[in-house]
Amino acid sequence: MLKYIIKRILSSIIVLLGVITITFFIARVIPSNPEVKWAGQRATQEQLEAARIELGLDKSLPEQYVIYLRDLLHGNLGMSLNTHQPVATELKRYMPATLELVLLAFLLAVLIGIPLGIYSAKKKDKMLDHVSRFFSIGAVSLPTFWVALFLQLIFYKSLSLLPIGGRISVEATIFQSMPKITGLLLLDCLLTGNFALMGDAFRHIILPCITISLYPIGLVARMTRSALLEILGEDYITAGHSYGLRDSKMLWKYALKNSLGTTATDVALSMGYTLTDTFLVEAIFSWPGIGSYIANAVTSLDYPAIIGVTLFGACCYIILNLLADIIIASDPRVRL
Amino acid sequence: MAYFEINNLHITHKSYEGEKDVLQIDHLEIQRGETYGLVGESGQGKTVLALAVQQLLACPPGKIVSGEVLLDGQDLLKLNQKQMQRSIRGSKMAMIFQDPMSCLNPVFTVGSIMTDVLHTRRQGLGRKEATREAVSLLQEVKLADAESILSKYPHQLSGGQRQRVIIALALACGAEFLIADEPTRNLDVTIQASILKLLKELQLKRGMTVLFIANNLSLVSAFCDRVGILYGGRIIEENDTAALIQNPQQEYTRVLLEAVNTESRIADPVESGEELLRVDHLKKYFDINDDIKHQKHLCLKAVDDVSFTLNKGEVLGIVGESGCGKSTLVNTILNLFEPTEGEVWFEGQQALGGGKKGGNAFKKNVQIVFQDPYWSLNPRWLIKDIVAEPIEVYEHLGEAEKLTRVKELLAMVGIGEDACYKYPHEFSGGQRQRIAIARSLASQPKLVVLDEPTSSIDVFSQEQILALIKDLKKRFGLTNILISHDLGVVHELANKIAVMYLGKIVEFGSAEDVFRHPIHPYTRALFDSIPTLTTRGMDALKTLEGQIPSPINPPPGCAFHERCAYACDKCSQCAPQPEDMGGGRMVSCLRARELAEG
Amino acid sequence: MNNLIQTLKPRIESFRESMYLLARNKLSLLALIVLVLLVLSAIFAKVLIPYPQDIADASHIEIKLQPPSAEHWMGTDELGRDIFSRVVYGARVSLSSALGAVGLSLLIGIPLGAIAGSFGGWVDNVIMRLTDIFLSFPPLLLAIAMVAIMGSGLNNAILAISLSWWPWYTRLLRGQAISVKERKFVQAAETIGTSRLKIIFKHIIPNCISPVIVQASMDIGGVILTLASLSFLGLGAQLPTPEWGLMISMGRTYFPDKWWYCIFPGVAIFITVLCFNLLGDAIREILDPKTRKK
Repeated sequence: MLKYIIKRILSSIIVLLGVITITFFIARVIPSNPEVKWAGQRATQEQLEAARIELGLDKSLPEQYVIYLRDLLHGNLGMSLNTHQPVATELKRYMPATLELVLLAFLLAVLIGIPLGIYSAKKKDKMLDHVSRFFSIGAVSLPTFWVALFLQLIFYKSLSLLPIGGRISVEATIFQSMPKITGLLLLDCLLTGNFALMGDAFRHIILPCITISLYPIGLVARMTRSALLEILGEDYITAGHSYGLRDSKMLWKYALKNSLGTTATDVALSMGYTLTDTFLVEAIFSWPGIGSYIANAVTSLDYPAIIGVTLFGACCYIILNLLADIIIASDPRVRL
Repeated sequence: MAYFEINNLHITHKSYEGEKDVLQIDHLEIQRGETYGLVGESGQGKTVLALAVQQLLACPPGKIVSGEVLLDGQDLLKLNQKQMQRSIRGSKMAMIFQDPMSCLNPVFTVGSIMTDVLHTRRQGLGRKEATREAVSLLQEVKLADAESILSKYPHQLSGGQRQRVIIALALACGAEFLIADEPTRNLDVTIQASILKLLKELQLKRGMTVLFIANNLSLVSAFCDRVGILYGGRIIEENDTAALIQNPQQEYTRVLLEAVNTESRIADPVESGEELLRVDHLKKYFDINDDIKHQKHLCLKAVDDVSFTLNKGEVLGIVGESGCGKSTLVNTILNLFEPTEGEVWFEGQQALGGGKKGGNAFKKNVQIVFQDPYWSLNPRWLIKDIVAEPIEVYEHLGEAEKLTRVKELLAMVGIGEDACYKYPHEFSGGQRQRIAIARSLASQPKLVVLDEPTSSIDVFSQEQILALIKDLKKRFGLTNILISHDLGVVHELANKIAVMYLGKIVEFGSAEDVFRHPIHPYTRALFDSIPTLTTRGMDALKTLEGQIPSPINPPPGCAFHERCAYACDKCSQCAPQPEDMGGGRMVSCLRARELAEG
Repeated sequence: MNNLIQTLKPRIESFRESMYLLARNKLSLLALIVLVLLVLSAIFAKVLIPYPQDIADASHIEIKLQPPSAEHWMGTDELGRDIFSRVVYGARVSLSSALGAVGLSLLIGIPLGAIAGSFGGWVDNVIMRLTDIFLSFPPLLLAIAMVAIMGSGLNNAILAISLSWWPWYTRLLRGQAISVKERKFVQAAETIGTSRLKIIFKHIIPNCISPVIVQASMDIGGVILTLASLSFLGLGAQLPTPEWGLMISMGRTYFPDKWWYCIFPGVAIFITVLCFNLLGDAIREILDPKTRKK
């Protein structure tokens, strides 16, 4: 088991190296004039020259690659063109907000998606199954950014129930001091016992959270359903019936444990989608996270920031997949 | 009143072709304590029946149109799922399934599965009591070391052990009516007999009634009191076992009987010609690379030092249980695998690794017919292209000539020429096997390997295919290597027999000698453990205890000594060499001479 | 002629079976009908739409941002163009772009998968590690980065999506090829002496390509969604192309007061993608050997 985990970690590192290489190619090889992108369209010849040296473009590609790797090893993702701050520092600043959103969405995906999938499988071909299937297919067919707008239209414009965006209301930022412990606002409020602020923060997180959790809920429900149905068709389920085991026991104990591996991978996969959806949704809800950061970077072609976020996203994704694989490895069929 | 009764049961199956009848049983009754054998080939509705009476049949696509299933006077089809689960399944009737691997949940230990089943019936059962009960059940099914088996996962058990666990599960809730659906089908022949014996013993001890489902008559004759023959979803004949065997009324029954009757079939004699194929100390080892375990270099000795010669016109039958290396041996001879060591000589020429040209000439002369005729024909090719594939490799003919040749070949195996423009799936198993035979003859080979040529087709076609093979062999003077686990087929075709065990040939000789007077203890055990029509009662059936050792780590000395009834001290230390017993007979046993004399 | 009928017969049979299984699920049948209509309207968009000039740069400022009415079913945009015309024409843009992206991915993915699966060994290892690396980027993110660097535009977006999409097909085809390779007819061809190249092209590839094609056609929905997301970020289609994602992005400025500008293109995306997914789900079930077996 330990050997497998070590091996799996090693292979993840190799994959990470590959990912870095690809981002290097995207950043340095594909653009025809990276220095123009760096210094701006209206840069003078001298500025361009300075940019070339700053980027190390005067060196050969392999040398550039080594420097790139060395910088990454030191946690240096380059400087943002917009703010002239190190990208790594900025990511650190924006991350908690995104993390809060993603974690909450993840929680919803697991808490709603899995039971929905199980229920759907249990009532296969009944009305409820059709409804839940339609819901889960619908959820993965919706353009997230559009859902965000749609929810704003209903809950902000028509019903005036919830705020249109932001992480906290403007008044709160003026009259209250923000607790900073973990960076996750809801949790921090809870820890400091500031329930008024927590309520405000909660009202703000509802819409973005619902928006980005739709996709993972749908995906997880769909995948759980099909994994379960496949297992419920296995011989050992029929055999279990023949020995007189109860249906509920078969479903909750037998089938669910067997589908654990598939479900874990699906959750990891859906988190990848959630991560990118977050990027689109944050901008719409003015959520001060990495998504807003990259959306700004994209419009202003702040490419060190774009590459930095891409690399960061890939890292998260690799770690998630690693975790999913380790969970699967706890399945005794994978003989360890 | 009978204990179990089926009246007018009619089951259909719905598909895009409309509704089809799959089962139509007018009447079937089983008395308390009786063993009823239901015999039919796959696709005749046996499993549908077994599942339907327990209300486990998937509906749709299945549909129970009408009928009643009475157990102790209670109509099971009138009960709902909950009632079935509460009061029938497990407590009154239970089923033993075909494939012991797929019907144990792989992610739970045997102990956890067993206690779950026990708890269903008796809610108040404590953990300790449940474990004790599980141990006693496992002991009842004669699993040595019951405690340690409880903590194992299904994949850690051998096939025989798994089937015993399944029997224990079926008994766990005290079912009195047992449905055994081909319980020994996926087990090795030497294990089969011991499972059957166990079942019989338990039946007598617990006074159970058994519905025994089988696909051939040889098992049934030893095991059952009454037999019903299922064909096309109907019971076409029913009688006491002895009476049915002696006096079959239906043609289908007769064919089924014929298929398991080994005595009446004898291969055509051949005049021994010159040597065609010589296999010299052939070895094929596979390296085992376990990615997860990272174990040190291991190798699986699939074929371990095999030598024999085959003369023109002869048929060599290779027999042995699954995993004994017979398929690997043939694939290595055919050059599909690179041999680890050893040589193969064909017509006095080195056949393996002789460069591309030499290799091609050999390939042209040696062809193979595979077991499953569905997957051996490319489903996306027309029959004419399939049969013409060898012609394209070896001869350069025009389209028209090629088509003529294909038609000739098809005619030879009894397939009409309108088959040319059809796809494989439009033919039945038997027809597909004929097409595969036609293809194997297209390059005009001298040696044709038959890998279980009849084991996946129905009995009617089996008979015809065997006749066809015999006929073609005579017409073209073919030499054959036949792999089969069906001793009847080997009897009918083979002149020479090679018995394999764990990668080695333990006995080799003329078919007549080996069948009439087997010398090697394994050969004896193998032949004895296969019930024949003349076997009456389970006591006549000899069993071979123990599991087949893993070829990765075979026991020292003679690989068979752990299971051998004649083993002596020397057997565990010294590996036997093939000993010439005269008349071309070779036996690899330290006590061969003693055993040969009596 | 008779031969032709004979050749086609199995195809017709399996088509009949597929239709039977499809018809059992009313919803997927409906999805199929809607999709057929969508494809038709995409093909004949120029003829069907009420204001053909509005798909380009036309401007009628005097009627800008009007709510839905009898003349303009989905209202008008900031230049007074008919949103309905633009949404219908958008189907043509989205479908053709998605088709292009999927086609390009197949072009990369199939040969690589076939090579990896058929040859095995180190070739297989190299190709599969490469797909691993590409698949470890969160979906869309790689495409965003590539387009951002290469420059925005529909063609670059299509290229970027293909470059991040192909590994799925490589994996799928490789898996198929490996299982087909084990089939007895491949072994039979080997004993016959058929050359290796012929075995790969005549035996292996024809037997593993159809699931990949099916998968690809089901992916079109997902690609449309990705493309719309890129356009929404301003990285995909550029003005004045009537692309759905881009329209939503433009409409955001006037949102939520002029809600129709954003809502209708979104509905179009939703319906299209939903139909593809519903159909895909049904196809998956049909192709499942368990459904088909009996």
